[in-house]
Amino acid sequence: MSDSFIIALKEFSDNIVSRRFMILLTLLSALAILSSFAIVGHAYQALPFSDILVLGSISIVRLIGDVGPLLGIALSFDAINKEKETGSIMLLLSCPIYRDSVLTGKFLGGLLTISLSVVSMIMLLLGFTIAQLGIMPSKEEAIRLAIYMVISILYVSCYMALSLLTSTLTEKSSTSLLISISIWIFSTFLIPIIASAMASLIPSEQVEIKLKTITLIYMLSLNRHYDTLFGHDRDKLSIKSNFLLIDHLGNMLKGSVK
Amino acid sequence: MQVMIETESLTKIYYADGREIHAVDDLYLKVFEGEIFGYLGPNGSGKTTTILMLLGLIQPTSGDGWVGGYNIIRESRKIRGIAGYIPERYSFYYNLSAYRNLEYFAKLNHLSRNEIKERIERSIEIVGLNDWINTPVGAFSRGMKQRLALANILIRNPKIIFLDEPTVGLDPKSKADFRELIKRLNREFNLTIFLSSHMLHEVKELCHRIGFLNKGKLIAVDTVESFMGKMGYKIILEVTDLDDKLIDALNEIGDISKIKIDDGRLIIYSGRDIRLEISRKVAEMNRYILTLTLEPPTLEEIFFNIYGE
Repeated sequence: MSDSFIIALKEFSDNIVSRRFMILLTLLSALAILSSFAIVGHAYQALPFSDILVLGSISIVRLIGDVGPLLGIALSFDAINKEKETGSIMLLLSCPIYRDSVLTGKFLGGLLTISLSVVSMIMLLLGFTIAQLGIMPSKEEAIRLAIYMVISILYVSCYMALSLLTSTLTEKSSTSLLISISIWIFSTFLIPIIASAMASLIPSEQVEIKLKTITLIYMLSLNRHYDTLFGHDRDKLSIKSNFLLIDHLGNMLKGSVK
Repeated sequence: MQVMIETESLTKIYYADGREIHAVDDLYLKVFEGEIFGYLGPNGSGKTTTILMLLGLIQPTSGDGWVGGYNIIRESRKIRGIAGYIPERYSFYYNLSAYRNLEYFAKLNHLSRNEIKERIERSIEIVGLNDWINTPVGAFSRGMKQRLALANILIRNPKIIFLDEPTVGLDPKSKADFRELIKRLNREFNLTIFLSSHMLHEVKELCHRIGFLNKGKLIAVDTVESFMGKMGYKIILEVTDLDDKLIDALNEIGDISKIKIDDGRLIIYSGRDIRLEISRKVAEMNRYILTLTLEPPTLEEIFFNIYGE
């Protein structure tokens, strides 16, 4: 077994019994169940099954897009500096392993935990929704849901990786948490405000420049990329979704170059 | 005797507030197989930095070194495979049992499943923690954690052990037990032990040779006995009417390197045994000798002699 995998398994087993993970998972699961009830209220619209992801005021896409990063942050904001604070890092590094194995192991452990949480949340949502509506997803829709799950896991993992970075670079876990939360707030809540403010400074007749400015600023927000993939442009949530991220980023870049 | 640790002009420089700090400066050192080497120095003298460089956990600014024949820059991973390290400040995973902690580190030492079980049981037996093997480490006392740290090292069958201030924070009994364990490991397994400490009595009790480090520089290396020999004789004199006149008279004897008053007694350091001359001088001064004894200097005195008061 590789060193990274040994560390990953320990991280995973530590994570799933940790109090902070339990609290967050309970909260997210409760929100997923609430979301399923909200979906039932929109069922008369008779949309494709996979649209249950974006229906309702607390859709699962909105939920993972906005609150999911907290799970990633919670899992790794103290992954390295806590080991430094307690001194366990010295015992770890005195083993015949490479330093990057520690980081890779921590990341993989977190990835496993995120996968478990995201899959559980979506399964919970699907289970409750299917039970209430009595309809089953088709094969194609099931594949689309699987793709959605993978992309959501990767999205939350991005925040986890960022948090792991701050945990490595800072001495105290409180500092790392503060930085990670700030990045999440900036990306999720402040960028739209900044984009609007910047756009308002441009004369209203210059619509194209206005749009380009907003697009450029939105490019800084990971949250907006995720939201655009699944929330704003629901028609694109098809079987070709796995190419959407590339298309989406490509379009954004084209927009900025013009 | 085979050389286990060797350094050549090993240097580590840190930069802080625009200043160069020579944590370790031009270190030439040889430690032999089966030896307990005491690395002595005041706090901040560069002891831990030396150990971290020898383990390849930090890179030297210049110079080179070898541990067990492996180069500290290019083969540090191999060094960590044959060397164990107990840092001054460390922690196990307190929520895991002693067994689970050891199992985790054993896996990271690339032991097979069968080896892990066998070696954990053997190491736990050596350090005497058999009854605590399934207890979470959070419930362990400092002394027990220190023994567990030793067990953690033993599972990898090391050739050399680095101990950084290993008895700091232990109660007297735990200290004595730990020292006994170190001696046993050295005796029974012929382990080379590199002991960094500022506790002189501990070093004197355990070490075959000692090196004195000051501000990153190794200023003296020798056996404890040899250091004591170099210090010469220490004569303790207790007299009636102790005053400056008597001290001046004693200073006339010659060969006296230092006289100091300690708790109403005179401590006289000399290159030879001058008890006869002392008794004559005291009689000439019309005083009476209460006690006149010859004692070997303590390691503390050697320490202060080297570093200055």
